[in-house]
Amino acid sequence: MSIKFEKVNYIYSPGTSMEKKGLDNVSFELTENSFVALVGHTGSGKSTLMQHFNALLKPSSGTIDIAGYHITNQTGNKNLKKLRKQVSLVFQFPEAQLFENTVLEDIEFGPKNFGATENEAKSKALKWLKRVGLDETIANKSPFELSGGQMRRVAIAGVMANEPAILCLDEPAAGLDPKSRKEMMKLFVDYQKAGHTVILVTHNMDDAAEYASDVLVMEHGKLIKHDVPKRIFADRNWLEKHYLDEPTSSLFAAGLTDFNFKDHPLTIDQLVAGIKENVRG
Amino acid sequence: MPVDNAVEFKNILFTYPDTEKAVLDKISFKIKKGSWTSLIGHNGSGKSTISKLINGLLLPDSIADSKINVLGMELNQETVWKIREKVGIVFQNPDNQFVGATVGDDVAFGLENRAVPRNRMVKIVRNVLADVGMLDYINAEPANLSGGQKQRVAIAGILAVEPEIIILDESTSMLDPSGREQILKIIRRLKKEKNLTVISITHDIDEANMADDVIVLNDGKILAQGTPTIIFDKTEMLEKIGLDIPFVYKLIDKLNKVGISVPQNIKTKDELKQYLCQLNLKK
Repeated sequence: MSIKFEKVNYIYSPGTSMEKKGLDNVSFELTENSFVALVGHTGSGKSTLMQHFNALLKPSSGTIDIAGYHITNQTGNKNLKKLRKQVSLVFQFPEAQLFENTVLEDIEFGPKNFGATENEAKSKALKWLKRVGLDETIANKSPFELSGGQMRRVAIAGVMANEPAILCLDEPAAGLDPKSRKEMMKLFVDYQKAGHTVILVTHNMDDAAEYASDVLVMEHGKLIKHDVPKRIFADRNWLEKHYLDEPTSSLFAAGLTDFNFKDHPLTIDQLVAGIKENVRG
Repeated sequence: MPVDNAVEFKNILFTYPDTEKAVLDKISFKIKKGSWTSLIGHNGSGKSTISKLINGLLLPDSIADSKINVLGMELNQETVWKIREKVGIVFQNPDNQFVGATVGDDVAFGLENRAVPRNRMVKIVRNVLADVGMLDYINAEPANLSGGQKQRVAIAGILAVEPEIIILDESTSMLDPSGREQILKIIRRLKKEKNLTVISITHDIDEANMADDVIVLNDGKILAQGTPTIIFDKTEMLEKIGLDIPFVYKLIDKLNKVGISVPQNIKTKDELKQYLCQLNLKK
């Protein structure tokens, strides 16, 4: 399911003294089944952009084509249910949004809301409870008795149980321990491989370099670059100018003077291979 | 006699109410005064429980021959208030630790509790906000600050009561990279200026690599304590318990595996770069 933004502007509180441009003439196209990293500093417009994916915010001008919908400033709030079933957003610290009495009920809430029967909702909830790495034995516990990391997983299971075609997550692994981080990233990579589009809002350039097929870079509400990681991270002067971090391996490689890398390494495995080629001649 | 240890745990057992398994299983350790000590371990390994035991927010199970010493004082009913004045904790979520309507009010809270006279209070508030680079925001509403700015205000609130020990309980894990770097820089400077002991509970392995001392916790037990060099050499142990290792150790490990052997004394990125460049020239 492709996504197309054309000249999208978004203005917060138009006509007031608080007026502020959230998105500034943003255009891009993403192909179906891609893994996208959306990067940029705090306040660059990443979250504003994310909220346009399922029309929580609608453009002040410009158009968005997503999941068979054509969204403009004329789009009403009616009939958006199907869009929201196909495009799901997971906000930062989603564990703050848990509310049901039990873990299972919390995960079932989404599917039921989109019309699943009791049985369907239950089987989906159990399936995703396991997929996010939680044990079935906690299904009947209160979500508020769980650890922070477990709560995060429950919240994410609740969104993934709707099996959206496009899954968009804002820093889903922030604050998790390294092992949980890795498991979480694997979950999203597997989801993308199973034929869905995953959009990851992140500050972690190592993740962007390792997993993304497309990187979108936002700054002051503008999309300043859309490219593959290899080309995004190839231009260190450009990165520096925009205060963006380089992936750790890329930075290390840059410090190896007199080394000749065929492809500038972005991940640790590429770095090791590149070093080997150099020192072995 | 001067006290060498900021914190000393001896044979500490802790079980949360209504649970059977102990979170801390008879642990003992010492944290040197004036050191930066990182506590690492996966979620649920007992790290945060330790920080709450240090200032008496939690009390250990009473078993024989067990005690907690903080700055030379044995923690008990009488000393707990004095100890709390000396130990400040910066928690993980910047939004959960605001009480004041403005930045200045928030920092003043701890001083009001201690009935510090107003003219002195005003001075202290300004001083500590300047210390963390937030003086310009003294009248700002906390809600309008970024996560990193909120954590700086939280740190100022703690500095105001002049602690000797600062505990960072995953204080940077919710911040973006530049916010994180700023906080660590401020703490490093303050540690030097005010001769603080810093105990940092963290998942950021590159931060732990810069500590003086690292304590590794797993399932309520202390697996190892030592300098980062000693700890991060135990690659297998750390991976087994689900912890990450610093980038440079990971890289050395992978290079060794593809037949590029790196001498054992190389421990930093710069040393490794230098070594690899020499290797490249010699080929």
